[in-house]
Amino acid sequence: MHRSKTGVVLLLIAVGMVFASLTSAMVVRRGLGGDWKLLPLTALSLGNMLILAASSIALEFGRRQKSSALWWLACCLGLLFLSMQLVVCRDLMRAGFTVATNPSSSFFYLISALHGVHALGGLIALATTRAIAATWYWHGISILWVYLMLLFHWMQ
Amino acid sequence: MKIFSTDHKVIGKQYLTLAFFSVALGIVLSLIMRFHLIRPDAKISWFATLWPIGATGGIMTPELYLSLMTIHGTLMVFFVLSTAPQGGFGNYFLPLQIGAPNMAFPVLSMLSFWTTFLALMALLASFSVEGGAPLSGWTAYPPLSALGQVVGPGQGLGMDCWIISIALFSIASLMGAINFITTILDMRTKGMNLMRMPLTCWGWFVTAIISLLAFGVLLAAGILLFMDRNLGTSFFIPAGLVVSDQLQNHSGGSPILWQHLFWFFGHPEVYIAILPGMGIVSTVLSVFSRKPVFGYRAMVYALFAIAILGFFVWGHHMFISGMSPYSSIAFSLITLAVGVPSAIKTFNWLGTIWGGKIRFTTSMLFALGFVSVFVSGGLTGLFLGQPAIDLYFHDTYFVVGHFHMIMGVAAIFAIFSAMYFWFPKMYGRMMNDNLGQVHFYLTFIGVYAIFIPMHFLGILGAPRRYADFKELEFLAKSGILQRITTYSAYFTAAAQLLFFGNYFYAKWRGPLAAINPWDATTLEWTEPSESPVVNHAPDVYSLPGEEKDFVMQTDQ
Repeated sequence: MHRSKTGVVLLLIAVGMVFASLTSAMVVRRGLGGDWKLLPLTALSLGNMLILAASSIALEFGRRQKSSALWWLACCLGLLFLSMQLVVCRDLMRAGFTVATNPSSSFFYLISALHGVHALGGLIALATTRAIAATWYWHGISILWVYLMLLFHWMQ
Repeated sequence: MKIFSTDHKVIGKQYLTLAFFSVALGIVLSLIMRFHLIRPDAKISWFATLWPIGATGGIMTPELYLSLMTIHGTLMVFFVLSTAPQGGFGNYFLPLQIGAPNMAFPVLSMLSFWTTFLALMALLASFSVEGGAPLSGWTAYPPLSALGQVVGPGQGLGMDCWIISIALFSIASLMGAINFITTILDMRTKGMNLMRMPLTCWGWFVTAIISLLAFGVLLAAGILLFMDRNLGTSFFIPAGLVVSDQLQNHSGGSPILWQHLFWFFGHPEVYIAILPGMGIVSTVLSVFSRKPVFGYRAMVYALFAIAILGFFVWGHHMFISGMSPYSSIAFSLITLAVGVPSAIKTFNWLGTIWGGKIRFTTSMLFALGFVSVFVSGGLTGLFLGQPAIDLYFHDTYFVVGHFHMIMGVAAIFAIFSAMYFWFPKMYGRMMNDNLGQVHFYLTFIGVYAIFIPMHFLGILGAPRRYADFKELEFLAKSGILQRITTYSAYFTAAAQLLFFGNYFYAKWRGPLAAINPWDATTLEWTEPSESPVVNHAPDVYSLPGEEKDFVMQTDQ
């Protein structure tokens, strides 16, 4: 295997461990007592997950068909995802959930921000290189977000 | 030499330099602590100069003692034991040993070193911020670590510096881990299949896998702690906590959650410190016994077994934190099971030297010393791994003695062994072997003299992390043990001057080394040693009377 591919798989494992430990912290923290409040997550958050998934699919077709247009579409969808995620967070703020309100919102903001930083890194990579490793990373980031959204909804 | 070099040799030396600086500072801090333990009321004027608040009038406060202890532990665990064997020797010798031109991602190597450097700076900055360095030890247990200045000086900005330092260190280690694994998987030269790699490479490989899986957990835990401190969240802080007569505005968190996350990283961290050493010792014992490693495959499998088991034993640090006795038994059994692969390695080391034509070089002596302290430190682990016995020993000097032996001294012996072994390759010159042997015997006697009395102190019930024992009646007669420990620490620290003297003298003035001075077999010894010395003009051809018609610039 080319070393950039090996490297990106390892990177995704490392990132996965960060989120795995946050998952376990969240499960334990929720089980500690009755202070866990439900988050008013709207359909927007689920829709935004689909935007990211669509970005990943566009990217994969773009890579296979060597289509620059699809590649840039994927980048734009990724950017849209990040902006919409800011809207999701703003809505949550307006609903009265700040970082310190409740562990449920603390985890939500933390995980959104951490994932967002990783996604931003991925976007920069996609904009500057056509390496297959960059697409693998982006798929990893998408799958991670699908998992995290399922986790948040399961935690409700 | 370029500062921001991407060359693996330069980066390896940079890591070693950083580790040498850290270990020197860590030793100085430990000497100050040892001094305080035998003379708690002493007035030292330069304490007051260095720490005007922590040691007003030259008398050390308990808070200052705890802050020195925190920085000592953090420096030693992260910036010495996790840095020198892996980042230092690993970066330098892994590519050479597998026949690769460089690490797989040279820029990543460079970034990982400089991130480690920033982490060290962030840690040292804690001394100079308001309140000074943090008090909560290298384990940073909340709620002490999570509440800020209210629980004591150093828990304010100093603690934030500590968390930032550890987060940066985690990121640097993850970069290093990705680099090491990729290099070993994808960069081996023709014919170097995995099972032909020297055991040093296996040590670095397994260590990198552990780092990859463990440091992300520490990073996540550090971020949660940082949020509890600065953003008002309640992950680790319980409700209704009153500290210094103030009700803390938090609810429902659990300090035990931190312990779980921290030790899920923290126990594998012990193996991050020791596994590269195991690889180095296996190689050195084989070279100087003039025999192949006994049971090479078993050694490789044992490394993996230790690594895997290491991820399922974190609970043994928490037997008295309020854990179900059933979980305790499970954690205890898995902990004791680590003894099996460890014993396989030990017996194979003995098998390697058995009947060999042993050459007692300094490097060999330190490798043998490693086996000795590894066994001594491992045996006390069997006591601590059992909940019923740990109940008594927990948080006593017995634990301090145990982990200093198995983690600290063993890994340091491996670092010394590697340094004496590879010095000719790194600097092209030889260290003085007689001086090295004196250094070994003094150090070997010294470390046992430091740490055996600590075990007795622990059996007497002396608690760790106490700045003095004046108030504890039952320890009134144990002063002699404290004094033996302290004087031995002075003695051992002084003996290290022999090493540093030998190191610097050899680096500049030592006799030139041959390409393969130890008659070793691995690839790094086929390469010319660092910094070739030029003896002639560039154009010496057809010299009368010479057999060859050319003379290399490096020939005598």
